[in-house]
Order: sequence, then structure tokens, then C-alpha cells
Amino acid sequence: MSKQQQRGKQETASEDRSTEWVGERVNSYDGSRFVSGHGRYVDDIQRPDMLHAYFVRSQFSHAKVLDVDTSEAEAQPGVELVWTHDDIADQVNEPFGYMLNDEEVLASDRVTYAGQEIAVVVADDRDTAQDAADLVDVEYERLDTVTTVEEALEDDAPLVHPDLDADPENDTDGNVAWTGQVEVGNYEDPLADADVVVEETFDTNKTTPAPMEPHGCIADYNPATGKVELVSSTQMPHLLSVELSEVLTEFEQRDITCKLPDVGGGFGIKLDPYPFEICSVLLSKATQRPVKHVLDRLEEFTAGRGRAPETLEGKIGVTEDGDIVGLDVDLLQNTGAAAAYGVAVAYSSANCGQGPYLIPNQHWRTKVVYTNEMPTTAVRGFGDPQVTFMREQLIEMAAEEIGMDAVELRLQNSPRQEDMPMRSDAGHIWRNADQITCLEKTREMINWDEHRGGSKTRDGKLRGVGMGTIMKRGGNKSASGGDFDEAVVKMNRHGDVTVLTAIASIGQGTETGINQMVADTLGVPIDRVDAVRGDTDATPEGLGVWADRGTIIGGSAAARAAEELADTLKAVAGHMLEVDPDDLRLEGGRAFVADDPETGMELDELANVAMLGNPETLGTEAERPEELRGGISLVGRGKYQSQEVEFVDPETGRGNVAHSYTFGALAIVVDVDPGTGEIDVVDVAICEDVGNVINPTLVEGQVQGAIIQGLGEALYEEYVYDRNGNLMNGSMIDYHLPTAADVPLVTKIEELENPDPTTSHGQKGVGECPLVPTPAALANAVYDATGIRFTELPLAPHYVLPALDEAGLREI
Amino acid sequence: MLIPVAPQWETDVQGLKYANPETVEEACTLLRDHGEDAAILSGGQSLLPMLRQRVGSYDKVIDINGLPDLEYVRETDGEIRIGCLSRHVDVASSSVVEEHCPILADVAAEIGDVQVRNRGTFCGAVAHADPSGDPPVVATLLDATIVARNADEKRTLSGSSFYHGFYETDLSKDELVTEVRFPVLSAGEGAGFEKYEPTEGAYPVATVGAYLSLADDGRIENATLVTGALEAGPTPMDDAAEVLEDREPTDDVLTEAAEQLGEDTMPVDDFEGSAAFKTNISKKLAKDALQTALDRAENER
Ligand SMILES: Cc1cc2nc3c(=O)[nH]c(=O)nc-3n(C[C@H](O)[C@H](O)[C@H](O)COP(=O)(O)OP(=O)(O)OC[C@H]3O[C@@H](n4cnc5c(N)ncnc54)[C@H](O)[C@@H]3O)c2cc1C
Repeated sequence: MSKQQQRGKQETASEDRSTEWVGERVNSYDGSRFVSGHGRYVDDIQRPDMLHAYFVRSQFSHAKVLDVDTSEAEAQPGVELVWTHDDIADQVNEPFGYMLNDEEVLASDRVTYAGQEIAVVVADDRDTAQDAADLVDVEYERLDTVTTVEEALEDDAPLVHPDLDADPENDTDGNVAWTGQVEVGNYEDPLADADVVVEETFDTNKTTPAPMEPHGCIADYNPATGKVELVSSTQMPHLLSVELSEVLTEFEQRDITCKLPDVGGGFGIKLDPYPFEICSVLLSKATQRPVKHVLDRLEEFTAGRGRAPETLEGKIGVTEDGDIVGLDVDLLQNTGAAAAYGVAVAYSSANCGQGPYLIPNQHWRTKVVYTNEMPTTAVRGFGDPQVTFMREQLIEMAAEEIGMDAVELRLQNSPRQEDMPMRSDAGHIWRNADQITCLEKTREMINWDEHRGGSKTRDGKLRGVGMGTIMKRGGNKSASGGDFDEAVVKMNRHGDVTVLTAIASIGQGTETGINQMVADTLGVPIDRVDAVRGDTDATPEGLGVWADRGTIIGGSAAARAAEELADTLKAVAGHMLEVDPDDLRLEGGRAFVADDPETGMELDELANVAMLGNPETLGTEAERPEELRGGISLVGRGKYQSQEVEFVDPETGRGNVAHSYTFGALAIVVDVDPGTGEIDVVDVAICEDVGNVINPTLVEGQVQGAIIQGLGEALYEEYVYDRNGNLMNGSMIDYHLPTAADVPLVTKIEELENPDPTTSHGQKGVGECPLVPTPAALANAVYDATGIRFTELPLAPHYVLPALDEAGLREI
Repeated sequence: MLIPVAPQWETDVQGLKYANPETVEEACTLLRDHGEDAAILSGGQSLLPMLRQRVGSYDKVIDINGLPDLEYVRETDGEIRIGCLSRHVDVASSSVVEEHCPILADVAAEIGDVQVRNRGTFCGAVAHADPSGDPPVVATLLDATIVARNADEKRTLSGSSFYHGFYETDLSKDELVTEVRFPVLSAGEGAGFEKYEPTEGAYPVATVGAYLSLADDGRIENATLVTGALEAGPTPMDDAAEVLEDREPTDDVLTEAAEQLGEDTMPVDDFEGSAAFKTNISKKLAKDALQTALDRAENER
């Protein structure tokens, strides 16, 4: 660990808190269960008498639904019910949606993308349900399809949602679902001060994060209570009950208990309330039996949602001396047939689009546009990878234009740690981040100066280096109404600790970090701490895992809860030991006087005494200090509510959109094969300022995973639709995810630990960040290698080779 | 382990009738009686994905994994013989193959991923005739001998004329491939295989196999070029091969043949790339495959 990191650590570690676990390579709390095959995902869970549901999905991307004949399916042995829109219409508030009301649970009279839910079959087993679904006869009348933003914006374009367009209450205008802007400084002429303006249009790709576990749930309705228990593979158990209660007319939030099973990945697409969850609740109510609905992989591809492709027309203005003076951007998001999180993706990525730079004049114009494709939504990075793909290429283009090294240009325009806390141009509150060192370290680790300028390797490959940067939000109040989490930390008579948190575990390990923070606050060994996650009957309120908020917000809440419990333990120990509780320290499973470690007692004994609370051990209540009278509760409560975060101003698009921001830089060296167009990523280096590292192993895992996910999206992945809106490559055979053999093992990982003064342990967000700059850095490296500017993702051989050919670089 | 049962339909797996015969005779009897609507299960790496995706018109599965003595890779009478229960990994790691026909190892070692190679059979891939399959390309290239059995007889089929487009071969529905034989390449002969797969483990988008034999004076005597995945199955590229015949194997000559091959391919535009892209990449693959073939032919001298 560097000196700087050490220094960071000391700044926040409060004097009396143990530092035994935070910062250590503690094994993942769930790890041994998962690697030994003892995880329990939705599909592993069996309930007595359970039914299984399967959807009938639209064959066409845009059509009127004239008739749905369910009779043959209903006649199948083992089929319980077959429902169409009419069967649920009076039980749901429609249209519904996360930010815009543009979805139906089952299509009523129109379908707007191929794969949309039209009917649902519920049967004794899944095969029967699937076979019966094949027998549902849907009569369609085809309508003209729009699949691209350009088509969708034409004057006479077919409308994806004519009802919303016609509704005077609704903002939908033609196919434009939402329009926004970010206005900073001289936004009317943001490039006025520029000596040089560089402009280019970039197109990003539609992708799926393809979590290993598909979406799925079990709904179990109890007719006696009128309540339903929903075990769902989700990232936001508490918000899910809120969201579902808004759609389901007969259910209040209190009627929907959401419980988390093990979740095999989420990456953002397990945030929306989905039709399968809504239908399962209603089907369980109707049949009075548990209903399981797990999507299959092909359904995941056509209807599981993914990252929105965007067209970004950008202009950057710089002075001859290398000051960035302005940014002017038109952002068009192809949101698909429903916007889901698309609006938040658009406004927050435009708000954060300036990245880790000082850019005094900016004008962003954003449009979220409907097309007849699968809806898009939140995906790791949440719009930042798209805008970063544009911004970081514009920056390297501008650097070349003015004859300056691209890292130097970045350094010159980055904020200085000593100026923080500060407001960025777009209104972010930046605290204690050292972007300068991130850039310099990354440059050094990747051997920038040696590679820059491009070269030919001995085996004839074209080599180059490129960079991208990170300024990633942690949290997003405008998307959730506030940014908070509650936590409860309780102790039993043996001194074992349980953390109750609304934070979901989706494989990323947030609970492990939370347990470490709690273990240190209470001074107990890590293996004495358990976590209960996402059970709305048991865990206190919170918003779930997304936007890198879990460890920041949920972790700080849990640390506060642990502090409350620690205060109680100290009070009891102080009373027993007849010392001032303030002189006590909790560590190594003991409470002892900090200056006199011999004077102390074991925590399990302490817990037992406190839990039983008998006068024989503690003296009469009259003899005890005030706080130990009337029963000693070994429950600590904590809440963390960001006071810094702001709603984005709807007029200017400015504001402190998130609680905190993680800065960083990433560089990539590539070899481009002039014979095949294949790109070999030969080296990756990343330096981020992630605040105090709670668990280096988990941070490295997130960094490696995010970079590889980013490389997959940058090199291989894309949804390919034909003109009729049919997905051409919707299977694991045809949609190419990177394998371990395709990507490097990323080991050049440097984490700066400048603590965030507002969080419990100085932590900042980590999980999404490294994905953000990856596509941009890759494209910059390929430019350095070939002199060809790739403005479209992915940089797959079938796009690269033709470009090499055209540039006269192709060889055989 | 599989429990051997009599040749009758025993279990009912997901609506499919399943049998696992103990002898080749039993298997062939089952095929005779049910070949029209039964699928052979060897490695299952193609069959199971099809069943899961509910494509294919079978209602019976004949599992041949219990048949005795069919797992071997050996050299007999100037031929490499691969039994129908040998897996891709067996071919990839065989010393006989390495010594006498290394192209087979090149092919087998790059099929799918480790799991696919541990289960999938080389003969199964030859028989299955997936248009993107790799073993069919090399079976065509080297004119393998395909040994097929039915209830009445055993016959041998020629690899160079075995394939007829999408999943179409000379096999009849009642036949079992028990063995595939490849020639031992002798001094002055060499073969190379190259493929482009979008990611590791994915099905290839373009493959090229090249075979060369050199005359004593070092000129190219015979040449064969076969593509795969670009069209409906293995496709011999005779005009490109002709470019090579009787020529000095210079870099320019190999390039000329590779260019010719590319021009003669007839791929289609799809999500894996445009026809022009596939044409261009096949040129590169052809060049590299020819270079390997040449190096091997020269080293064997
Ligand atoms: C992820 C993945 C990637 C793959 N990538 C590649 C690749 O890159 N290149 C490649 O070539 N292949 C690839 N494959 C396919 C693999 O090679 C299969 O193993 C092969 O195609 C079929 O062999 P099998 O033994 O698995 O046959 P099975 O799946 O058991 O059988 C498939 C069909 O072949 C026929 N068949 C099988 N054995 C016999 C026999 N002895 N006699 C007569 N007919 C028979 C039958 O019709 C049978 O139904 C891949 C498969 C997967 C799952």
C-alpha cells in the first residue's frame, strides 16, 4: 500500500474503532456456498402445489392484436389458466412504467416489439405451460415498424405509442418519449472561446449484460391475509414492493412481501418491475397456489432488457494551449418500445457527461426515442459508457489537432484535489479525489510514452494505446426520490451479530464489505457476523443495489446501526468494569480500556449479561446508569440519508445528481490483426480513487469483471435486428460474450484511497466505474494503432476489417 | 454410468423415448425399426441444444455411449482410425494424430470449449454435418473414409463426396457411423486448417482447410482447398487449388491461390458480417492454412 493510501486510511478511521477487518481480503460471505453448489436461486426453490407460468410472446415487432384464441391451450391436461389482457385489466393500473407510463402487463390490442408479453399460461409444470403457450393462437395485423432513431424521428414515422402521443396529459411527442437538456455557462454558444473545434458522431450498441441467472420469481398469495410473498431475482426488494403496489390495484405496499433468494447477477436489468412478477402475483391470487415464473435464455434475449444504444453528435472546443472550453452534444437514445430507466439514463449521463474535467460551457440536448425493439433500461454504467465513448474520443482527437499529448490535455483540464470540495460546472459536489495521480499512474503503468504513436509488432500486428476516464456517480436521487438506506444490527446472547439490510446481494459481495464494517465497529470476528438481506417483512427500508450505492449508503447505514449497538455494549461494559464507557475499545471480541487492555471483558459474556439483564449481574436498575434501565436492547439502528444529493434541475439539467463520485483513468494497449481485423487486448491498466478500500479482493473482482464486461461490449456484443424488428442473434450461440480466453487477466489495478469524508469508512462507489471508460479507451487505442477512428460499437472484426481494407491496411 | 438394457424403449425423458443399446447390432436394429424418428446420441453437444430449443422431429433417442470397443484413435494400414466414441479431446491429444496427421489435432483442439471437446465425438460431428462444423471440412479435404453400419451391412463412404448441403450427407437414417479413417500423410504432404470464430468457443464463421503435396523438385504436385461455414457445408475450392498445381510454392503463389479462394466463396450477409467481410477473411485463412500445409510438407521431406 502506498503512503498516500496509508494517509487516507488514518484520516477517517475513528480513534476507538478497530481496523481488524476493513481493508482486509476477507472471503466473500456467500462464496463458499456458491462455489460448493449450495446457492439457492429462484429456480432451486420448490413449494408444495406450485404452478408454473410461461408467456405467449409477440412474433412481430409492431402489430395489432386482433384476436387471441386460448381455447386449445386451455384444453390441455395440466393447464390451469390461460390469461390475456382482458383477464387482468381491472386488476392493474395501466399503462405503468418506472419513469414513464408506457407499458402494459399483457398487450391489449397492440404489440410494440417482438417478444412482448401477450398471454400467460399457468400449468402444473413448466413443459406443459410452454407446450400450451405454443397452442395459443394470436391473430395479428402487421403494422409498419421503426427500428432506428432516424426512422422514428421522421415526420411520417409510424408511432410506437399513438395513444401516448395523442394524450394531452402525456409529454410523448411523436416517438419522442422525453426531451431534456444540460445548460452550463455560455450554453447558447458553448464553443465561442475555442480556437479549435473537433466534431464527430458516435453510435453505441445495444447489449445485454446477460446475467447467468435469468429473471424469475415465485409468488405465493395467502387468501386468509390477502398478502402475497414474492421471492424474486431482483436488485431492489423494497422498491419492488413499492413499484408493484402502484401497478396492482388490489395490493398496497404492505400486502407485498418481497424476499430475496440468491441472485445470479443483475447488472441493472433486475431493477424494473416486470410483467412476469405482476402476472405471477395475480395468478397466485387467482389459483390460490404458488406460481413460479422463470424466463429462459431466449426470452432473456428478446425481452430481458439491456443497454440503450445512443447516437451522440458531439463537438468539443479547445484553445491552442489545451484548455477545454466547451462541449456541445446532441444525444439520441433508442430506448426501445418502453423507456423503463431510459429517461434517467439520459439525464444523468448528460449531467455527468463532462466527466472528470473542468468544462465551463456545455450544452447537451437529449431525446429519448421509442422504437419497435426490446425496451432498454439500467445497465452497469448507466449511460456513462455511451457518453464516455464520445467524450474521450473527442478529447484524443482534439489533442491531436492541437499537437498535444492526450494525457497532458487531460491533466491540464482535470480538477485538483486541493480545490475540493468544489462544485463542478454541471453542479456536482466533488470531494477529495486525486484525478491527477489517477492519470499519471495509469500513464506509467501502461507505458504510455513507449506505445503512443502506434507501432508494428514483430508478428505484423498494429499496436497502439488509448485512454478513457471515469467520473462515475454513486447514487441517483432523481431516479429514486431520495437516497437513503436503513439498517439494523442486532446481537444475540452469545455475541453473534446479524445485519439486516435492504441491500441486495447479486453476486457482487456488498454484504461482505458491510459485514466487515460492522465487525470493526463492534470489534467482533468477521465470522460472527451474518447478513439478512432484502426481506421486506424483516429488513428495514432501503433502495437496493444500483448506481454503486450499496457500500456507500447501505454500508454507512449499517455502520451507524453498529455504532448504536457499540455504544450500548460500551455502556454495559463500563458499568460492569466501573470505567468510563468513553475509555473503552471494542476489538478482537473484547471490550477493554484502551489505555489498559488488561481491564476488559469478553464480548460474549457482555452480550449474555446484557441480554439477560438481571439485577444479580448488573445491579438494580437504580444502581445503573440511565441508558441501562428499562431493558437493554442489543439492537442498533442506523439510517444514512444523503443530504448532499440534489434533484437535477429540470430546466438546466444541472445539479448534484449523486451522493459521491469516483474518479479514475484506464488505458488499453491493443494489437490489431491486419489480416482478420481481430483486436487483441494485450494490456490494461486502471487507477481509480475509490476512497478507502473495504475489501481489496472484492474491489479487484469488480474492476476485472467490469473491464471484461466493457471489453465484451466494445469488441463483440450487439443486438442485430432486421428491418422488421426481429432480433437476428438472440441466443448464446449467436450473441458473442467474451470468454476467459478472449480477454486478458487485468492485474494492473491501482486504487487510490482518498476517503470520502461523508461516508462511514471513507468509501466511494466501485462496481460500475471500470466499465465506463473501457469502450472509449479501446477505440482510442485502435486509432493509435491504425489511424482509423471507429465511431461505432462494437469494434468487431466484421466492422474493423472492412475499414482496414478501405484504408489500405488489410493484409493477407 | 449407464446401465445397459435390452434394445427396447426404456425410460421416458422429457417426453422422449430413450434406449441405450449394449451392442452395435442392437443399435442397428433399433435404427432399422425407428431410424426415421430417432436421434443418435453420442456426445450430445449438438443434439441436446437442439432438443432444448425444441427443434428437430425426434421422439426417440438412441444413446450409443454404452457400445463396446469404439473408443480409439489408432493407426492401421496407413490410415488413422477414429472410433465413434472417441471425443474431440482424444483426437486433439493423440500422439498418432500428432505424428501422422496433425491437422486433425488442429481441428479437434479448437472445437467449441473444453466441455464440448470432452463430450463431443469427432465421428458425431462428421455425421451431424453442421454447416459450421470443422470435422466435416477436414473429412472432405483429406477424403476420409466413413464407415457406416446398418442392421444388414457395413459400407464405406468417401469423405470428399459425403456432404450435400445443410445437414445433408450420404448416410441413411438407419445407419450408424462406427469409424472415420484419415490417410496418414507421408513425406512431402502437408495440411493446414484455419478458422475465424468471433469469440473463443463460438461456432466458426469461416474456415479453410488446405492440403498440398510436393513433387521431388519442390513444386506443388497436388493441392486441395475446402472452405467451411461460409456456405451450406464443406465446399471444395477447385479453381483456387488449380492455381497452385505445378507451381513453385512461393509466397506470391500462395497469395494468388488465397485471393482466388476468397473470390470464389459465396457467403451471405448476416449478423456475423457482410459477404465482403467473409470473403476477405477467408483469403487470410486460406493463406495461413496454405502456409502451414507447405511448412509441414517441407518438414516431412
Ligand atoms: C458451445 C458449442 C460450441 C461448438 N463449437 C463447435 C465448433 O467450433 N466446431 C465444430 O465443429 N463443432 C462445434 N460444436 C459441435 C460439436 O462439435 C459436436 O460435438 C458435434 O457437432 C456433434 O458431435 P456429438 O458427438 O456431440 O453428437 P450428438 O450431439 O450426440 O449428435 C448429433 C447428431 O449427429 C448424428 N450422429 C452423432 N453420432 C453419430 C454416429 N456415430 N453415427 C451416425 N450419426 C451420428 C445424429 O444425427 C445425432 O443426432 C459445438 C457445440 C457446442 C455445444
